[in-house]
Amino acid sequence: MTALALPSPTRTSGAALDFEALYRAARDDVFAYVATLLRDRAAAEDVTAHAFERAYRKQRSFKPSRGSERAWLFGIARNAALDELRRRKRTAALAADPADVESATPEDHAEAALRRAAVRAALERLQPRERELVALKFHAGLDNAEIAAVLGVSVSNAGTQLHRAMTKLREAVEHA
Amino acid sequence: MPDLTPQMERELAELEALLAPDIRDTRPAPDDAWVRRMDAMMESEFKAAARPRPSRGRRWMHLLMTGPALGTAAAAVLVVALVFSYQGSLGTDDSDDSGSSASVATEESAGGSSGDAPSATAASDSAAGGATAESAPEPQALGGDTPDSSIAPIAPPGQGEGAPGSDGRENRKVERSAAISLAARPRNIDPVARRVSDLADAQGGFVVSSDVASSRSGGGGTIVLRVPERNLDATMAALARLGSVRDRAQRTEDITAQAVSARDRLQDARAERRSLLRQLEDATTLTAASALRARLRDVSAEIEAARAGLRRVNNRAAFATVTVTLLADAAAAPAGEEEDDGVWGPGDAADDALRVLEVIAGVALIALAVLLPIAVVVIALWLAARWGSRRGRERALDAA
Repeated sequence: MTALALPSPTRTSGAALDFEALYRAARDDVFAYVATLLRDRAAAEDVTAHAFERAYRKQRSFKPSRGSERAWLFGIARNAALDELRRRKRTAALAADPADVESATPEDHAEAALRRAAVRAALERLQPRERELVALKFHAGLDNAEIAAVLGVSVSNAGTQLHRAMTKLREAVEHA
Repeated sequence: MPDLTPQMERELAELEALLAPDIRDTRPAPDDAWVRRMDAMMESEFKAAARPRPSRGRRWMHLLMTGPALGTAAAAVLVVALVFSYQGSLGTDDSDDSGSSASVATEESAGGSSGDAPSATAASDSAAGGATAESAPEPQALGGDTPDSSIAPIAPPGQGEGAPGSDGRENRKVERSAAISLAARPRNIDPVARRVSDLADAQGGFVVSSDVASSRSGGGGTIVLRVPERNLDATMAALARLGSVRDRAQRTEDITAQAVSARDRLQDARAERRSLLRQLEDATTLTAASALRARLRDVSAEIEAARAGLRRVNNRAAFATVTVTLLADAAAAPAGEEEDDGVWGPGDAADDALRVLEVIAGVALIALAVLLPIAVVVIALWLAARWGSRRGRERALDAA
């Protein structure tokens, strides 16, 4: 992981943001979302750290009128992840991690492990945008309004896209 | 993308209930080591950010230390702008002081001969009182009273003036003339020239000649007016309001002797004609009568000439000649502004402040004209770059 030296936050207009509380609450969610997007744990760690660094630097630019703190943070994380994808595309060096980003523990129930494997396989078959939606919803725990704010679409549009992704996911799971 | 219908919402809720637990089970979890490193790093940064900031007292002290410096700098800038503005207003206007004080030359003569009578004959009596350009006194050198050579000089007294042949005070005839030099901004030369002509009409006078040229950077010229003598002072006062007065001169010449001489010549000629008519009545021979008739014709011509001469002298007394010289000066005060009395007071300070504001507004306008297109281009480029960046990110996601 890259060591970070966080700069002092720029002080611009905007409501006060309890960044420490936001970090505590969202750290793992951001990592999960970024890891799902990148399918690369090492890269996800770096990108998540950079996302928090960027958010910390720009925390004064947060405006409650434009969405929740989490939506703002995940918007930054999304841009950082997509920048990483662009870099990867240019270098074409990194291959995706195996889909099994979380190893099954021995004590897992066999049936649950199978079902989880089926869901993972189904997630892999989704389009990247659909996989991102699922990650935002279930890995990051955002509601539809926050997803809409992160993606820059309407809430209704976000719900429609999510409906489509979930339908495809169910079909993929059933055919797995 | 269609809107989310109630049916779709219900289906989505069912799907979430069905798949959410399994999906959450696939959630990637960070390594503990990474989490510890992140926490440590953020913790140190949070502590650093939580360090006490300078107290309010210190901030006030800082403000007090920097405030006067800023105020001094602003005052210095203002003073420099005022000085430049003041110097700019002086510019080529070195003759203001001398120009603001009118030099008035009043000269009287009496008992003059007819030697300085107008040489040109009066062409005709105009509608404006019969005055003609030929009868106007030609501008000539005035002497040392006129500091600026741009002003039209006024003629010195003629020969024979001051002779004892002039009439009493009530019958005296004087010829008045004046000259004024007005400075105006180059773009105002034409409007001022038109107003000078309008002024002559308004005062019951007329324009004898006008030779005015104008350009973006300069221009000027001379306008000669004839106005009723009784309106000369009002005309001069009105002219002074049309521009910045650089020079002003007036001259008064007693032409009583010339008037008396012309009148006497006419009376003599008439008396001679009457005598000739009487002699003609008494003439007994054809030769004598023929000689008298020839002499009568000559005398009649003399009478006409004497009448014309008398009319010219009367016109010279009835109408005054005003020579207006227009000078282009970019620093000249706009028409209607009062002349500078040389004392810098609150009014001048207000004027200077207004001038500074005008200059600032002008500079700001020019800066805006330059910066606005640049800003538009920069904003367009920034929007294009932002759009390109966003599009690139979305493409990267699609290709992932």
